[in-house]
Amino acid sequence: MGASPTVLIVEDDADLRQLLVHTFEGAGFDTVAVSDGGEALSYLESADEPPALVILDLLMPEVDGLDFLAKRPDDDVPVIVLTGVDDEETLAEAYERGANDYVTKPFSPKELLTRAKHLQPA
Amino acid sequence: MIDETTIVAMVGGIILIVLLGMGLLATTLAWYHHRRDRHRRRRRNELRQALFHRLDLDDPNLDDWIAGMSATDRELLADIVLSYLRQLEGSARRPYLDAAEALWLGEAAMDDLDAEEPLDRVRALTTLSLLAHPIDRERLVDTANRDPRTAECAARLLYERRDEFGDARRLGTSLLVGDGSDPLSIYGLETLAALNTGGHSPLLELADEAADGWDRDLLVQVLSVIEHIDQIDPEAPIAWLEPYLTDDEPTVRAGAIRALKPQGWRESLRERIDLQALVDDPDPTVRRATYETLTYWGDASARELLTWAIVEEDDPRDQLVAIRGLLSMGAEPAIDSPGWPADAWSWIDAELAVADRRRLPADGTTEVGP
Repeated sequence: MGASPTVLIVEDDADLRQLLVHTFEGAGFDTVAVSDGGEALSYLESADEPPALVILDLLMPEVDGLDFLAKRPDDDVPVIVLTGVDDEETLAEAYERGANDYVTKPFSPKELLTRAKHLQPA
Repeated sequence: MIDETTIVAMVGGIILIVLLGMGLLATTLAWYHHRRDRHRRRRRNELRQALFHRLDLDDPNLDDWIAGMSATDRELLADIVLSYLRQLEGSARRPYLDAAEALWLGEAAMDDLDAEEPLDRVRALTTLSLLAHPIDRERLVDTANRDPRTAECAARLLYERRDEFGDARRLGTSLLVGDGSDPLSIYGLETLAALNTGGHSPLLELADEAADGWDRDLLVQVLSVIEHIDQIDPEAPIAWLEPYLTDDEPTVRAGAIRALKPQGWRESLRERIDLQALVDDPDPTVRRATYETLTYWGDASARELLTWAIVEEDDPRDQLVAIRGLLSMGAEPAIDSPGWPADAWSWIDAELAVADRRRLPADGTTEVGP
């Protein structure tokens, strides 16, 4: 049996971060959860294997989601932006920096999981 | 006899002791708060995990679990549950609504509707807007009538739970405009817009009945909401708007012409109002609002007025708005007209072309032009 795919969750709200961990682990993923874009970059630089997917908040206090997208070393890893921001300019910027999809808060975990599974290699 | 030096030394000593005491007190308080916050964070994490575990069980038995909790744990758990009710939508809310019920959050919020402090009432209404707890309509109205900020929160609750109240849009709108004596906060204005877009809009009818007596700032706010109403109802009253086109205040005239934007499909309206007078208005903000409305309408008469305005307009900002409007209608430059602003036309044309290339395609990819 192959190892479960790993999801990197980047979210500064502790309650939401743990809910995402619970949601993805319940669906058979492994998770790594961090609270800031800087921690996420450190993880990507030190991890043996890149994650299968990144769930990314945009508004975070230190390194925010857009900065993370610009600085991440491996832009082959698919990214779903999970955000309360829904203005066209910011989302267009996220797409330009390599995000693959977005879900706005309040959100349905089922919908998020469906989109995550669509971004996994067959 | 105590000499002067001794007195100075004693006073200095007393000051030093007081300062040291204050420093010690501040340090103790900081340490206490740090320790308490750390404990609460740790306890919050434990409760969150316990909640997830409970909700995964076939029978979570939340009532018994919560009945055995301390008051502090209940408070922390309530905060977690409300946080999830804010963040989630759809069927995922159901287990957290059950947890809220087991915590009696609805009952506590209903009790706080009668609180003396406005902040407590606001908090109660905000909580109720997240829950499924039944709300008595009369009680909600009584609470809302106590002060304008409470009314705004009651209107928001009606918007969030609009499926449960047959007249949520009308009642919420009437709570917001109230007796018309106070302008709305940004929160209230956003709620007014939410209640009056994407479905039947009662604002036109309420304004028809009462706008004459409203505070002028509130009137301008209402006009800005009406500008975005997407209701196409031939019976909706709009005649009350027309006298405001000749109001003494430019902000009201500008608001009124913008408010007529979505009504441009009514030919009789377009024929009835004196558009030339608005294009000739002495105030540039009114002319700008008129150009925007003409652009939105986009008919032959609008095109003609904008073409004329481009040549005659003294205010460069207004002229740019008119040019942008004509270009968006696909108009060709009238380069032979005396006074035609060829440079400004070319500039806006190029700017729009760049914006077109930057627009997000439907498939989510982006193409950024040079």
